[in-house]
Amino acid sequence: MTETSVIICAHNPRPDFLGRVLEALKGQTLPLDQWEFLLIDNASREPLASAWNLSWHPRARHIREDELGLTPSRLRGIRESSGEVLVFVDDDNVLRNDFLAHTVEISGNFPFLGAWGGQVDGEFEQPVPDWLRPRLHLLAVRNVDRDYWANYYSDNRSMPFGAGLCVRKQVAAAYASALKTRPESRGLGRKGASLVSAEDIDIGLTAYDCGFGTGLFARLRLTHLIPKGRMTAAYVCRLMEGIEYSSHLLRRQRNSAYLPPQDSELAKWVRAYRIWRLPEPLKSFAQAEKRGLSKARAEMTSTA
Amino acid sequence: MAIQSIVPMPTISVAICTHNPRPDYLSRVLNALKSQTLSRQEWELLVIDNASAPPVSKSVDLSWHPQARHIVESQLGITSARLRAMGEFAGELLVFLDDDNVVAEDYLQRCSELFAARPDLGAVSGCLMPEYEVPPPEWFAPYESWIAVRRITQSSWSNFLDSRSEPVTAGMCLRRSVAAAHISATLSNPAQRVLDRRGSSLMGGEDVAIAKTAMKLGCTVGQFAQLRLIHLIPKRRTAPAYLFSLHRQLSATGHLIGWVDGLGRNPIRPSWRILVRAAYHFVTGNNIRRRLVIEEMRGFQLARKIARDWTMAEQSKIAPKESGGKPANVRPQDASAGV
Repeated sequence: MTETSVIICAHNPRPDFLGRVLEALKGQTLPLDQWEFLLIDNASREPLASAWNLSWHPRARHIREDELGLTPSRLRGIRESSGEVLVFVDDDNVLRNDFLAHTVEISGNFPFLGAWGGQVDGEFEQPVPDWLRPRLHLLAVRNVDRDYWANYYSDNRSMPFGAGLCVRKQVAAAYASALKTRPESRGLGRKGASLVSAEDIDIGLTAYDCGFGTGLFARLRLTHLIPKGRMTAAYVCRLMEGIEYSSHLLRRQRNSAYLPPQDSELAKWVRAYRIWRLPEPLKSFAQAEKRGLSKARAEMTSTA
Repeated sequence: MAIQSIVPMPTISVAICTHNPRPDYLSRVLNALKSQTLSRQEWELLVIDNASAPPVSKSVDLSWHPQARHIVESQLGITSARLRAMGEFAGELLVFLDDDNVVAEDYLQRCSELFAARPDLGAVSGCLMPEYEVPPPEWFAPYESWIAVRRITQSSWSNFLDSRSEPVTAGMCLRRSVAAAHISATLSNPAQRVLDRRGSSLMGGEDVAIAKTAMKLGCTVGQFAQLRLIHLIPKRRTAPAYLFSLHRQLSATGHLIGWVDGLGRNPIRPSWRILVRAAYHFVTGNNIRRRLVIEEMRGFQLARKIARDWTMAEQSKIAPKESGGKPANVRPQDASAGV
């Protein structure tokens, strides 16, 4: 009986991180015979199949996906999985030992939800600098103080992110077929060094399209391992640019009439002045966001 | 292992709260109920007459329905009428109708199906289309939602407070557990009662209170497109004077909700943000907009007055009985802060 499929999409993972991710899966309270496990190796230089032994799990498989990108990996996972609920775990997501048990319980008790997630705690390789503290959500770290659910996108309160994203099979299938009609949306997920990331929102919106809601649950918890390299202002800048850029792209792909907002002449000057007054690194962040927006706008007006 | 649980269909109580109703409107409301597809055995009808003169029972005959009652609530105010209905209804679900709400013939059936399919729901309302006595002026369109018009085509639900999913009281369907919790919340926090629409006065705000109660119980609230009703809108409700007065009172209600939530300790005064925004709208807006800004500011004044009056009435009630016993949870100096 396979009800849940755990899908890890990994691209050149850090061995110590992936080791902890797998340890956390081994320690799940949900019996092994109630879930399957797919480890998608997304074009890693060192094939994961040779380095990682999955024999501890009766239904674990190595799958090699050579097309680089998080979205192709997820689509491959959707195609290959047989569970009723798909749980997407990144190669740096350490699930709490009751994560899968809660997922099964939520799937049963909330039949009206199509995609859900939970609280993400950060485990940082070095102390968190002050400027990063209010921006931890960019690293998919989020505190969920209570359960939230809704069947529309108002803000991120009820929208799950990609880390530990649980999706009902029907929604995953609808997402896969929607991407056939708009292949440009395959580019919304991370790809190698590029930091665009809106494919998780796309999956949440697909849940709404299917008549489901999305939710966040305080009892679903995982730890996101965050290396030093992601705690630099330069990385966060690239991240902000990528998120801003891809959020507009996503809206455009779902609504061909969408254009990113444009400031009036006066507002442009006011904004430029306000950015100029900001101290670093806030100035770089604001500029990065502006770059993301202008890039999206430029692309859309040139193809329109 | 899909276990098909058999959920019994909930029985419904319909409560029409009315105060000096327009006879032609009320008869349309009742006619819509007469033609419901849900069998009359499965729902009861309560007509809550909120201190009408002459009494509604004199002119309205309910003998067509096997389980119908006239109930007189002499304490004037829609809150009192609704609390009365919440205390008297016998069904699993309660549907509130105003005396100008003409429901579609499948309304009750759809409510019943919806709540059976979604045990998480606590309180919902539907698609409210207006039927204007006279066509409203063009400028009126953006303000339609203020008079409980919801032209929705998609259902929206959530378990947190958000304008898109927040149910309105016109046509609201709620579960017994929510009604019970709302009654005790109102009793334990009597300041809740100041959120009232007394007779000809316009205060609202109960919808938010009920939605909050439902969400505290872990329930979902929402607006559902399959529940359709027509809201009859008389001429006077599309006149500017009504809009201005409504805005003043709704603003006051908003401020009072904050005051009630803070058990009477939050002062009622505009923040500087509100003042800046008001100034901006006053400068850039048209005449209607400008007048609405003024009414919003008057709303603060009105809210303070209501809070003050209520506090004083409450203290004079408590003082002679037990001095210093039950602490008055409202202090008048706070209510009038910022005057």
